[in-house]
Amino acid sequence: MDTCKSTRQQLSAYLDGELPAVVAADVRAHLARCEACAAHYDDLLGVDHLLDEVGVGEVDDGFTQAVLERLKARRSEPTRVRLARALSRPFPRWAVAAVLIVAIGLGSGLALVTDPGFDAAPMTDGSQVMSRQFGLDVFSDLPGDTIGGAYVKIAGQGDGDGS
Amino acid sequence: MDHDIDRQLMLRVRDGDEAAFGTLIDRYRVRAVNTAYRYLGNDILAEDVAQEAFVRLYETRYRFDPSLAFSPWFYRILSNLCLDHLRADGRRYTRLTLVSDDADGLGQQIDGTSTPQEQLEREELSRQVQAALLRLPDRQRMALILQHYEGLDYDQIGQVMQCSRGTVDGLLSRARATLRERLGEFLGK
Repeated sequence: MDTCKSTRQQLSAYLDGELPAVVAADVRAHLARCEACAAHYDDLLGVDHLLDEVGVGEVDDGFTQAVLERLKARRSEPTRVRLARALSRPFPRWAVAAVLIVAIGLGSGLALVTDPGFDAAPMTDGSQVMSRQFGLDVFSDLPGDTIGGAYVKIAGQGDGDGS
Repeated sequence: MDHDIDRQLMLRVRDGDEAAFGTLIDRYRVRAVNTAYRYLGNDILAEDVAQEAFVRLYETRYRFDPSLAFSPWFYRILSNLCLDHLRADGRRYTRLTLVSDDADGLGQQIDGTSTPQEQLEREELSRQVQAALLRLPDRQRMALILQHYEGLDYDQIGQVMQCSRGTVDGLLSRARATLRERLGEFLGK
């Protein structure tokens, strides 16, 4: 059973001729004696044949000329237009993630700098501060005028005003 | 041998030879448009993206590394542009094509030897397969297009998609498993 599982995990690479010779020989031997895995392999071959049904299209002879004209037009653009195009391109996910991480890091650093001391005294509205993270206080008892859900209060703001 | 020709052409392009650039476009334009079409599912958008890929190829020609093959480098530019379109508003086009009658689109192949009925069935099958391909997750779809239609090996696909051989293997395995499930009714016919 385990051999069937590991064989099936290798069938795609086997189909593409990407397995080392020794491993490919093991897969071939297993397929010769296991009908279920052989049927699975036939299905994958069938999928590849179906992919061939998505035909190849013609491309207009004017394509090359269109590229050259586009390139020529691009060269004659003012720098500000080129810059605007570069900025309008979607940023890669890794770049967005990096900016977010830096922003969060800067934000938390700023909170520590502006409010380094923390006194865990009860607030004036009777709620008890549980923890402080990133400059926010989280309360264990919700004030009476809240509907529900999370209640956070920005550190250093006035207490008990219901806002 | 072909890879060497492409590499030599690209080296001439890097030196500013526009005639070599034209030759390179002629050699790759059909593959580029079809790859973009299979990925994006819209023929007009595919042609636009393919043209832009060649423009970017020229604009970034100085970055070409002659120790590497040309095709993975070009497909990397093309696949990044395709992904950019999907991230922006390309998905809208993909959905439109899936529900439209694409009788004049790139996906159709004229075959003079089959009957009209056979031709219709073939076109319907082509549409179903294309639809199943378009529903695959983006990276699985790109890996499969590069492997099946463009003939890139796992190392080259890894260069295009910036990932390891193992990741390429995983993407292709999952893509084929999904297609096997979704196209099951057509298998064995």
